[in-house]
Amino acid sequence: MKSVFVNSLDRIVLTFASMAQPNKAPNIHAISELYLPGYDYTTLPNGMELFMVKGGAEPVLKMEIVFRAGATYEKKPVAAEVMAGLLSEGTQTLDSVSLAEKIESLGATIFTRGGVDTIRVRLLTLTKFFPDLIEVVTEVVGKPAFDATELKVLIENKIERLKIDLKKNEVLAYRHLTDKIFGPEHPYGRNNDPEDYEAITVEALKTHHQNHIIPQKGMIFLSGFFGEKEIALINETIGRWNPGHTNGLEGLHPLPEEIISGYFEYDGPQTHQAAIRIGRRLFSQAHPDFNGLYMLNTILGGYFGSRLMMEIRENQGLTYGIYSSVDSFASDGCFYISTETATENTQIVIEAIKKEMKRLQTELIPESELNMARNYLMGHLMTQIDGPFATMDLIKSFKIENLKDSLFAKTIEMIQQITPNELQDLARKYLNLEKWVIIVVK
Amino acid sequence: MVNFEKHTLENGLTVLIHQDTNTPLATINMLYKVGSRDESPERTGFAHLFEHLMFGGSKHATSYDDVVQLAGGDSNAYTNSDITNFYCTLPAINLETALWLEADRMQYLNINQKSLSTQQQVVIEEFKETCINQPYGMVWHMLAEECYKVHPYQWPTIGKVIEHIADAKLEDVQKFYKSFYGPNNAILSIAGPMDPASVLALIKSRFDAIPSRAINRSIRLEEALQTEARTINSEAPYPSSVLYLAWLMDNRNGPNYYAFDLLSDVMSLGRSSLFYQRMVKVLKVCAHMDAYITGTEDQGLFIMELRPSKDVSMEEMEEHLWNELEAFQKTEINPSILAKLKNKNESTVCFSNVSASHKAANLAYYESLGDANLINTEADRISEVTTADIKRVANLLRKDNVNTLRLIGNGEVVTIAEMEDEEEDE
Repeated sequence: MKSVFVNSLDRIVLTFASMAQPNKAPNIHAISELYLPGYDYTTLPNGMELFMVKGGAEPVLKMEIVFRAGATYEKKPVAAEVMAGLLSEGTQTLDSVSLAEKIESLGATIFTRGGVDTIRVRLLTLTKFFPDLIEVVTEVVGKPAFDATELKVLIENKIERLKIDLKKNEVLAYRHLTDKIFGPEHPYGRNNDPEDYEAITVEALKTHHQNHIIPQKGMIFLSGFFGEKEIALINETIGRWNPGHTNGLEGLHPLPEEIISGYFEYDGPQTHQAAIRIGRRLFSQAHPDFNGLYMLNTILGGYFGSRLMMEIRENQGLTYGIYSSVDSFASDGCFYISTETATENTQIVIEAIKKEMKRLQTELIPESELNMARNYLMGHLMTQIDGPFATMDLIKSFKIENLKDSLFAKTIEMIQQITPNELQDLARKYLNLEKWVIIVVK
Repeated sequence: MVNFEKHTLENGLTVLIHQDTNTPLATINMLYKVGSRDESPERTGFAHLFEHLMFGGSKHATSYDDVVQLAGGDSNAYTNSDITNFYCTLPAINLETALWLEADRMQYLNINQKSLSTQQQVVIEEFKETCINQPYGMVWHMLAEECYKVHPYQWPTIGKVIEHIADAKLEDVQKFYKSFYGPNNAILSIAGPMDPASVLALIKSRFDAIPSRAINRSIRLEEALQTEARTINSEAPYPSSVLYLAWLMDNRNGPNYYAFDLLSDVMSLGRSSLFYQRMVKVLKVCAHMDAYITGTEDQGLFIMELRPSKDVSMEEMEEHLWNELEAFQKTEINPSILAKLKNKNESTVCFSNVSASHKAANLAYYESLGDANLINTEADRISEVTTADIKRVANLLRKDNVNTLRLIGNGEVVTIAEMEDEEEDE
């Protein structure tokens, strides 16, 4: 395995504070270089790719099987999400209870989830029990039961949970935001309603499974404590899984041409606090401006020391938290600010946010502030490659979003080199409120 | 196995050092033995409010957060009923910066009206965001008050009412700092790749000069043995009805603690657990069912939380639950269930020990209970619990000592309305 850090352990020399000056600030060491840790890679007999990061002192491993089979590929709303949920509710040889018993008796966890781009099956286990579990996982993926009774229970639960969520202003605000940014038809924008769940059938799930849960659309990510034995087992089980002829239909959900902007206010179920979401459409991580926006977002609202947090929470005390985020999906992205504030302060907070967005366009970011964000991001990226599990999560996001490994080095370079002028140009290009939508639910 | 060194400085500061050479990051975890149980009944929520003030800067480090961020670190804190815990993870090469910041705010915290007023507003917004504005956000307020009559666990960490936070005065802040934030009331735990001897020397250079303080803690009353059932019915526009059943149980060091802990797992951990299977899968009267313990240092609670299935009434679900519980109390469980939970526990401990920052936090937490080595031995204690123990503690969950809280939503008819919907109105 490749060496991970330039600041390898032997270079960490602890210096001693003078006994006479225990209050004196120590020197701060900036981290200037980081490298994407190495990983292994192989192709299984059925064509699935297996990515591996070995390491750690504990005898546990994580295996995640990911299919490009999320909501963007579904014909019927919620088919991907419900199908994923039902994978762990029984296979053709083990009913729901027996399946749970089998996994839990070994202290393991299987977790299945469907998102907008992917469906994921995750196994967490003590390495010693992996041989007893890999066949079960292969069945969960390839031979689910899709039992009608289990489906009914799952749907009732999803509806109950959705009803609870719909009583929260912040959930409603986010729903309105994605609807405005990505339109009500595309899975990035559309919002599930109880009726969508009620309308879903076993047939729809089977169709989605046949079309999209196939080796050609899958990837496996293995991390933690494992060796040749575990790799061989994967080759012999899921590596030989071949469901036969499939068509692998692509999703056909167009993104809207039109950009919706302006102010939208809705009545919400809760009246003490307003939920505010301000956002715009962006692009996927592959876009050349994405990296720079990562830094601009950090300074605007991406960490505790950001302008929004410092001004609106720490200086004015108007909120418990305010953040901005740059979210990327496989084929698009968005940039948004979110906060909750006392209902009567809604307009004060919106004006304060606008002011900070404007200020980034009109005034250059001071070098000291940029330096703090740089150092923070370098430390933050260290946590993202700290150990095999974190490292694999990062590599997984690269693979899912079809990004080149070299993007990591480019990100480090950007963090080190981006200038206040470049950030101001980005702010003028992207923080211009004419293209943003403001959502208030109160 | 988590190896660690333990030292006590002359001023009483407990120091735990764990070396983990698999990470380039260091975690500094400072635990103060003070929580909402140490508050006065008129100033609830204060321990948590004070936690916010600890980020307000100190004499030699005017901004705590700026320095941490400059050093590539991330920090945060949490407060519960028993402890207030501060942590910071940063590149190991900057460990000394984090130690300096912790030492400075232990001795020279900036306490001023501007910082207090701002954080009062911030915490009041937090109260609204996490409690008042959530569909079930006031449950813990109701349940705590129902179950505890004399012990300070009767109010939640966020505070009983917003007014208590709004009314806090600067002199309260100064008094609280003096009473609880001394080195002799704190546990400093460090995990990272550094050599322990150098870490200890660094800690001494930064903390030795801080004088110990007289810790001023009020005596907490114990709850009397509960001999009557209590019931609260809360009718409000909840998205759906939920039932809570809560029983007082042992404190963290009590003889039945681990048996109750395991009992909750036997009942509801995972889909193959007994009550989950019966209530959700077989009888289909519950849409959701969970059992858990609060795990507090003083007398805790054993809680069951159930949501009826669609078209099943609260009464019907309750009747089934009590029947199931009665049947359960008569028999001993199959030993294979405990074997299963032993595997689960082994797995949980291993996954938790993957992270150096978890290890730092766990060492400090276990030390606050009296023995940091519980990080290594607790699994054995849990595995000593027998099927007979499970049966014995299950029989302590009775109808005549239960605290029932019914949240009635969905337009269901309330049969016994004796609960006014408190605090939801401003």
